[in-house]
Order: sequence, then structure tokens, then C-alpha cells
Amino acid sequence: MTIALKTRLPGGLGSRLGGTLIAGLSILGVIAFFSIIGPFFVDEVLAQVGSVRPRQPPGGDFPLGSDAQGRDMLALMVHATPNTLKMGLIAGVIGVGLGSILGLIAGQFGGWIDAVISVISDSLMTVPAIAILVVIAGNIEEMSTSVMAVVVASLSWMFTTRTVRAQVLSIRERGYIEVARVNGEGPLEILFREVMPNVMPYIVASFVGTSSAAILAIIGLEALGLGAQNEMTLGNTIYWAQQSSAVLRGFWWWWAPPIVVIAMIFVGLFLTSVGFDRFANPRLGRRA
Amino acid sequence: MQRCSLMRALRGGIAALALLPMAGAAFAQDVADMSREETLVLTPWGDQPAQFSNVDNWNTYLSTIPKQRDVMQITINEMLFYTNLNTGELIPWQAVSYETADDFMSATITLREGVTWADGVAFTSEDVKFTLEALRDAPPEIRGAASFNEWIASVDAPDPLTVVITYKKPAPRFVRDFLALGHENHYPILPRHIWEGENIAEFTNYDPARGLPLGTGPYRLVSTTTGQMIFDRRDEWWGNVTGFQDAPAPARIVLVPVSSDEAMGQLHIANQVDGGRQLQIGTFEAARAQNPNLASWNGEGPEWGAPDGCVYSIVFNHLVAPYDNADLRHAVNHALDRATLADIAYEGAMPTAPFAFSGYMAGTWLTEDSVLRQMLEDAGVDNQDQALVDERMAAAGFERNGEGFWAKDGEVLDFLVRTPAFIQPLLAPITQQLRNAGFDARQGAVDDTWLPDLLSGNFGTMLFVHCGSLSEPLETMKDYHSKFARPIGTNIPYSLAGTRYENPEYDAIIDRMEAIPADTDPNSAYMQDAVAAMEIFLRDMPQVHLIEEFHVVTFNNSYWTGWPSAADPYVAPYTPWEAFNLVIHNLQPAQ
Amino acid sequence: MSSDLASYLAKRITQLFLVIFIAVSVNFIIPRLLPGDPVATALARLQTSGSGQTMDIQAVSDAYRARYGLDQPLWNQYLNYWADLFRLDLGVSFANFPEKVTVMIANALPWSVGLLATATLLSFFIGSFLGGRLAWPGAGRGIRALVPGLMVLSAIPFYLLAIIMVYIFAVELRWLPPAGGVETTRIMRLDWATAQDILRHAVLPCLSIAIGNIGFWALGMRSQMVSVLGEDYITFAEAKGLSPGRVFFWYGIRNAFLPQITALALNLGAVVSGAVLVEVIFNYPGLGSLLYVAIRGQDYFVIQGVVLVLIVTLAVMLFIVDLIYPLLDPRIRR
Repeated sequence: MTIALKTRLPGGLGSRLGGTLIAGLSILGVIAFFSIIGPFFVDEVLAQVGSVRPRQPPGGDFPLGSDAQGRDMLALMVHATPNTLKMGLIAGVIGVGLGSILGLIAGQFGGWIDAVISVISDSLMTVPAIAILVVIAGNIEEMSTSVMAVVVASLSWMFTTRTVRAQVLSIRERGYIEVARVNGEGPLEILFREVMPNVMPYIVASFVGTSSAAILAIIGLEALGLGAQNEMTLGNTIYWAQQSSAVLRGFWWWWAPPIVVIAMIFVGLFLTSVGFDRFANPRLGRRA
Repeated sequence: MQRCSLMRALRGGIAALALLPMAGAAFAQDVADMSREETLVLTPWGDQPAQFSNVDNWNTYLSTIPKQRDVMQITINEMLFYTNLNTGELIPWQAVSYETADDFMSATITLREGVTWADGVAFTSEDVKFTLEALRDAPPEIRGAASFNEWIASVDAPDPLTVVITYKKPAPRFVRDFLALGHENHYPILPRHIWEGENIAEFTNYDPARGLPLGTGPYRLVSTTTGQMIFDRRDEWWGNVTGFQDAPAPARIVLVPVSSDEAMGQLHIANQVDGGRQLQIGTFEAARAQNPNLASWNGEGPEWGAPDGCVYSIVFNHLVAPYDNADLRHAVNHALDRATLADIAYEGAMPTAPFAFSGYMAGTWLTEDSVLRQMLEDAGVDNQDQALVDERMAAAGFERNGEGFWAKDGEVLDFLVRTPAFIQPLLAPITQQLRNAGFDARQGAVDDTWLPDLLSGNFGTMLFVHCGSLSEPLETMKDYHSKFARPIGTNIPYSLAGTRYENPEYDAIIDRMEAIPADTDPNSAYMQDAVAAMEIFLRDMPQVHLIEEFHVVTFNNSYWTGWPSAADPYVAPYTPWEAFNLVIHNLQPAQ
Repeated sequence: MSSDLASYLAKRITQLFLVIFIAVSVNFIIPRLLPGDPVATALARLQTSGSGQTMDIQAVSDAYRARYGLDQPLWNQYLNYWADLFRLDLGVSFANFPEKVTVMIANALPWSVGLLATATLLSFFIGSFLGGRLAWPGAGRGIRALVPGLMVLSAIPFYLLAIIMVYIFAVELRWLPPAGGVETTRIMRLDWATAQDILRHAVLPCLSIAIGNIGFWALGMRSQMVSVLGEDYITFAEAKGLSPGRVFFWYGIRNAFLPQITALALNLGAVVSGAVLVEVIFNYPGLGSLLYVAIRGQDYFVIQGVVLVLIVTLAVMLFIVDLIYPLLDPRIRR
């Protein structure tokens, strides 16, 4: 019956799983490649205000045209993308790092520490991030990309904490933890030698998810005008396009390039996340 | 999951979508439907929220209630006089004339016969006396209280059509500036029989049963909600009855909120709106391409708009070194290329300006043969020249350091350029030009700290507006009087005079000018003083003026024609200014 | 009521109050910790708008500070804040003084709730149904081709979709109105014409949010269905000889639905976040526009008020979902 079930499912899905992960990583790789290499070929000066003739449609000297304030759109994309990715990465690392530590502690030590961490994490998870972020960001005088990353990271740790904690709890119930304890390994040793390696895949998986959510939040805040002013980031590009009434004026090259790049980033992250889920959790893989 | 529950839930959701806002909005009672051809649809000026607030508060003297600026000036309230700022012509309305005594210590206003309030009560000098004295005695949060207290000693009403104002000090220009200019004065005369006995700081002036808000104007308020304010024409308006003027053509005026430039452009394209909020030049040109019925002040771009009396400039804080050095200020002046700034920041929609004289002076004080104009041209203020920068900086004691930045005694000049949000387009280009000239300039954060800092003196340089000169040079030049200066940490009383410049010689000139009326005769004492003041300004350059603020006022000719324009300059085209009332009387249906 | 259910409810209620408490406190603390004086800023800004030059800023500022207790020690302000909340007093707007924040929120709330409720319902049900269909064995080529499309759509933030949709449908094709909640000359009455006007203006904003979300639900539902279809009880049902359709709906979708409901709760936060900008783009007079204008104008109390309302509304809705969950999942009821 199980075999019959398998053949009734959409064929080729088994091989597509590895494909999903590869597809996701490739998209991200392409973006990362251009982010790293691009700035060497395209001068940063071109992406600053007033450096080229404003409001030029794509063509000739400006493959992606220029915006209302005289920025070369191609140069802007080339320099804004790494900035946005950098912020997402920082927020992701901080969020996942913090979340993992809290999750490990909660799962490993249990008791009231666990209760406190769980309750706070569950409660904050239900809060719409933008609400708190707006209040914080709106009150900071000098916003910079690093400050923004930290602000967003402060609300990105909860999911990781939950996942890691659940995994730690399930690992604890397996035999070899008991064996290790009987063997005389101390709690910290157990944590690092037995628990961590099993939790790692989940941490990596949630890193992708956290970074994705962080980038979403960062772009959202920047599009509202709360970003680091005059820094070159994708969200700011959307904000400037909105301020200059780009849609009404039909100047699609002001808002379309950042949207395309953002979509690519998110699709890449999504595919990677799904693909990695299957990779980390083979039971899921077998099912489909 | 059955499909029928899905559909049921969906239908419920869509119903909620439609019904909730209807439930939330106040139901408009007794408001008749009116055709679009009879309705004039306007929006308030500038950035406003997507919904109106304080819909039940029509006390126009509360500083935070902008109803007079948004809509009351063209519907319910009228003024004693209006002025066509393009020509300086006085247009009597509720009053017929005024005279100032030779010693400037009093003024007599003669009112027009037959003016009545909307409830039929006659408009008399008692109303004027009541209003002016109430403003004189009002607490500080009442608009105008400070000024009226400064100038008015007492007001008499010897007969129903005569008002005599007695001043505390010589006031050659009080009536013109406060009661006749038709600019942003916002001091309508209040009906004594309604306001007497009320607390001017708390009275909300809203009671449909009594006909409040009550004014002399040709419209009355029929509905006020967060999404619309509706005014219907009254044919019993005094002007119609006495034959002064026909009642205006629009049978209904609707005010709607709009919170962004793009949304306003869309509304214009869809002919959902006739005028109001200004547009950015790009938005205007794009909207016009889709709707050829849109027009601005000028027939051709890029300087489509009309002057609003303000000039963008760099304010130097004279109490902070090294901005107290005139040579340095001149150097900054010569580092900037105004034409390029205007092109980058405003797409050429705003002209350059070497001094804070507004475009409204062009026909009177800045004519071809005017002395003041000659002085400005000779001084060569608008002249970007690195050699001059170098010369002035050397005179100020600076030299270029190893990295090419201006430094004095080894210390690099850290030039922080700050600006309020509405002048943000200039921030980056100016910083760039300063850097090119050798200043270690950087952009300050654009947030709301600029204003408290400007007021308290916690800044070095600040981009800001300098306004005035709608009628005479004194209006702008007076802002450099030391009476506006305060020590650092104490707020200045008037935000537009932020330089904290102190020069007794200059003060004396201004004091003299304030005591005499304006006079364009080159031989008059006034003109000679104006020239002397200008000389001091050109020598000291306390502020570097850059670009004159033009707004692309936008009018939609699809339903209504007769808007003011450069071809027909019967009034200044700004909806928040009180003289815009004349436009309402001039509109005709387009079809 | 079993003790399991009781402890479940107790935990959820505690969580609700905790979220509210944290939200209120964070909302209170942050603006007061950071530099800047919002009262002086707001009033000083008035001085430059039009004829404000004749106002004595210092005197008005002092009067307002006294009235709102901003001169008192922080602890007193905190207690006053809670007291005001119980009286449903969220303060006043400085930009529109003396309009109360509660009035502004009450006027904007119906528009937002209507928009978000419909958009969420649309995307949730259509998405889930689509996702379930995708997981069904024998799904046709056409349906499977939707998967990459759905993935892209779920990856783009709503407001970016909104920009694209405004461009296509309102600017280029002119099928639908590009801005506003109703026509400018519409007299709002309880009649069909008004309802039609509201719906016409709501289509694009609603679709932006709904389309952006459908992908999320579809893919989530699909993966849920895939795990459910592998469960033993499905095999058992098939062995019993039940029709495929019956198995699909009665056993498959119903069981896959439960985790979806949980995800709905978590997703609502993201929906609200994205919807703010959608409203701004469409000049839609809801909470999103209110928040946006308040942010740009640094309107202190309005920002706090809207944020608080958002958080509390969400917390309450999640609580309600948590109450429904035991009804759907018999395992918890036991």
C-alpha cells in the first residue's frame, strides 16, 4: 500500500527535493556573486545624489536609467544589494545566535528558566514586529545600517529559540544522552558534544528563515522612511521611488529593479529554506 | 472543509469590508446629492493625514486647528480687505477703505453697508472692536495674540460703520499686514453676538442648530466628517442681496483629505478633484500628460509654479565659531552653484535667488531701474568661483590640510549640513558642492530635531526658509534685527529669524524703517534706508540665500475654469491664502 | 473540563495578559528613554506652518506639559499611563491638537479591519484549497506549474505587489481607482451605491494583500497535506474503500487544517505589518495611513496608540483562535 501511495503522488518529487535546495542556493549564489564582485566594477560615486543627469530612461550610458535625484540605478542596485544583504546577515546572525543560546539554555536546564524564556518568547512571537520596530526606529536619532540590523534582530530570535528548545527536548529523550550522563560527562560537555551537533541543522535552517524575515522587516521599515537616510539600501530605494511619485510618472526603472532583486532574494531564501528542511529532516523527505 | 462554508465565509468577509467603514463614518444627515458639475472639490494644502481630525472644532483661532487655512477662508469667513499680491492692489470687501493717521498712532477703517452674518444679524464695527480687543487680550495659544497685544492699545466703534484703532506705538503698516494682505493672516472678524462670553481658547464654534460656524461668507457648513467637509451655497449671502457681487458659481464646495503627492496626482487624473494641494513638478507633468485639462500658474515649465514669498537659504548661527566670520560665509556663498542645485533638487521648477526678495516684488521694488536690483547684480552674489572661495577662506585664516579640507590651526572645519524634511532635496547636492570646494561637509540626519535646535541655537548651519517681502523690502530685512537674537540655550521668538545676528548700525536702520511707510521713490528716506541695510547685508552675508520657493499649484479645468494664472494674475494662486476667496467668485463651469 | 484543557486555557490567558503588559510597557518606555522632546518639537513645528510666528512657543509648551504630566517623574508617568489606558484615554495628537488619539483610531479602524479581514479570509481559504489540491495525487500539470508562481508571489512583500498592481491596473489600464476609500464627492449613506463605491476602491488594496499571502497558505497547506497523506489513518481509510474525494476532504484536509490555523495566528502579525504600506500606497484611510503620517510627523501619542491597538487586537485574536483550537482538535479537548 505504501508503495502504491508513493506512485500516486506527483512523480519526480523525490528528485526535486535536492533540486529545491540547489535551486535556492544557486539564486542566492548569483546574487551574492554580483554583490561581492559588482562594487569593484561599478563606481560608488555614481550611486550618489546628483552624480549623473537625473530622470534618464534606461539606455545608452545608463543601462538602468537614473532616478529623480541623479543616481545611476545600476550603480545603486549594485551597491544597495550588498548593504541590504549585509544587514540581513547581521540581523540573522544576532537573532539566531541569541535564539540558539536561549533555546539551548531553556531546553537543557528546564525549570523556571525554561518557563520564563518560553513565555517571553511565545508572547513576543505574537507581536507584529513592525509595530515595535516602528516605535524603536522612530525614536532613534541617527539611524545607521548596523543599528537597524540590531533593532530588527531584537525581535527575530523567538522562532529560533522555540525550534532549538523543541529539538533539545526531543534529543534529551534519546538514549545516548543518558549514556553520556552515565559516562560522567558534565552538563556543559553534554551540551556541546551531544546536543549541539544534533541541533546544528535546525540552527542553520532557522538562520535562513530568520535572515529572510529580518530582510523583510528591514525593507519594510526603510520603505516607511525609517531607514538610515541616504545609505544605499534596497528599502531606501523603494522609499525614494515612492517619494518621487515614480508609479504615476511611469518611471518603472525606479521601482522595478529593487522589486526584482528583492523578489529574487526572497525566492532564493525560501527555496533554500524548504530544501534545507527536507535535507535536515529526512522523515519529511521520505514522505513525499 | 466544505466548499459552502468557504463561500459563506467569503461573502461575510466582503460584506464586512463594505459595511464596516459605512458604520464607522458618521451618517450625513439631510445632505442632498449634487451633481459633479455643480461641485467644487478641493483638498487642504501640503501633507495632511488621510483623514480629517477635530471635525467638530471650528475655532479657527486655535493654533492647531487649521480650518481657516484649509477651507474656512473660501466658504464661511471673509476679510475686511484682500490684496492682489501680484500688483499690490487693495480689494475692499467687508470694508471699503482705511486710513492711517499722519503720526501712525491710529487708523480708521470704514465698513461697507449691508454686510450681514449668515443668521441675518448686521456686521458692524462692534464686531471688529470685539475681535481685535479679544485677540489683544487672548492667551498665547491663540493665533495672533502676541502681535495684537504688541500693537493694539484700544479699539473704538463710534458708529456702526466706523472703526478706530489706537496703537501702542507708531504702526504705519499694521492694517495692511494684519487685516488686508490676504496672505496667511487668518484673523477673520468674529460675530460678537456669538462669541461674547465664550472662552476664546476653548469654544469649539460648532452647533448646527444655531448655524455655527457662523460667518459672512456665501457658504454654510452642511456636513463635517473625517473624510469630507461639505459646504452648500447660500443665496441669501449679503453680497448677492446688496448687489455687490453675484453669489459664486459652485453650488457646493467639498474638502477631502489627501496624504501624498502621488495620490493627489491620481485624483487629478481621474478628475476627482479640482485643486488644492500642490504637486511636485514631475508629478504635475506626468498627470498633465494624461489629463491635458490640468494647469498651473505659468503656461510653460519647468518654472510652472508661482512664488510663495519664501526663499531657501543657509542660516548661519552667529554665536558659533567659525560661522561668525563674514569671510567664511562669503566663501560658502561662492562654493555653491545655485542653478545646478535647482536642477538636481527641484528639476528646474524653482528659480535661483541671491537674496530673500520674493517674486511678488518683481513689479514694484525690483523693476529694471530699481536701485536694489542694481545693487544685487553688482554684488555678484550668485557666482560659484573656487578662486573666490580660496581668497575668502584665506582671509578667514583657513588653509587646506593634507586631505584638501579647510582647516584652521590644524583643526579641520567639520561642516554639518542640516535641514528640515521639506527642504531635503537640497541636502545632498549642497553637501556635495561644499565638499568639492574643500569643506569637510557631511549630511545631518533628517528628523524633527532641527526645529528645537534652530530655536535654541544648538546648530552651526541650517537649511531653512526666509520669508517675507510680499509688499516691501522691510519685511525680509527686519529679520536681521538683534531683537530676534537670544543667547544659546534660550529660544528665539521667531523661527524665521534664526541667525542671531547683532549689529547696532543695522538695528538703527530697521527701527527707522519700521516707523515710516514704504516708499519706492529712490530719494525717499525709506529707500535710502533700504539701500543702507542692503549694503550691510552684502558686506556681512549673515545668510546665504539660494533658491526661491515656487510651488506647482495645480488646477483642473475639467469642471471649472477661471483659475488665476500668469496670463490672468488677478490674485495669488495659493489655496491656503485668504485672498483665494476671490478665485471662488471668479470660477465658471467648464461645460 | 479536564485538567489538561484547564491548564491550556490558563496558559493562554496568562499569555494574553503578558503580551499586553509587555506591549504597553515597551510602548511607554522606548520614546521616553531616547532623547528629544516631542511636545516642544510638535509645537515648534507649528510655528513655521503659516502664520504661527505670532505664537509664544514657550508658554504653550509649558501649558501642554503641565496638562499631560510630562514634567513628572518617570514612575508617576507610567502609573498615569496605565490609569489612562483603563479609561481608554490614549492621549492626544500633537499634529492635530486637541484631537484625541482614540477618536482618530476609531475612525480609521473600520477601514483597516474590513480590508484585512477580507484579504486574509480570501487568501487563507483560496490558498489552503489550492495547496490541498496541489498535494492531491494526480494533480494535473497545469496546477503543478502554479507552484513556482506561488512561490514568487509569496516571496514578494505586499506593498511591492501593491506598487505593481497600481501601475498595471490603475495607471496603465485604468480599470480601477488608484487612491482613496471612496470617491471624493460620495455622500456616505447606507445604500448600495456607497457600498459599491467602497468595494471598488477596496479591490486593489485587498488583492495586493491577498495575492501576496495566497502563496504562503498554498505551500503551507500543501506540505501539511503531504505529511497527512502519509499517515496511517489515510491508508486505513483507503483500505476501507472510501472514495478518494471523501478521503481527501474528510480526512485529509480537515486534519491538515489544524496546523494551518496555528500558522494563521502567527501570520496575522506579518499581514498587519505589510498592510501598513499597502494602505499608504492607496491613500486608504485606515490605521496604516494613520501610522505612516504619525511616523513622519513624529506624532508621539498617535504612534504609541496605533501600535498598542495593533498589538492588543492581534493578541486578542490569537487568543480567540487558541480558544477555537480545542474545538477543532479533539485531542486537546480530552
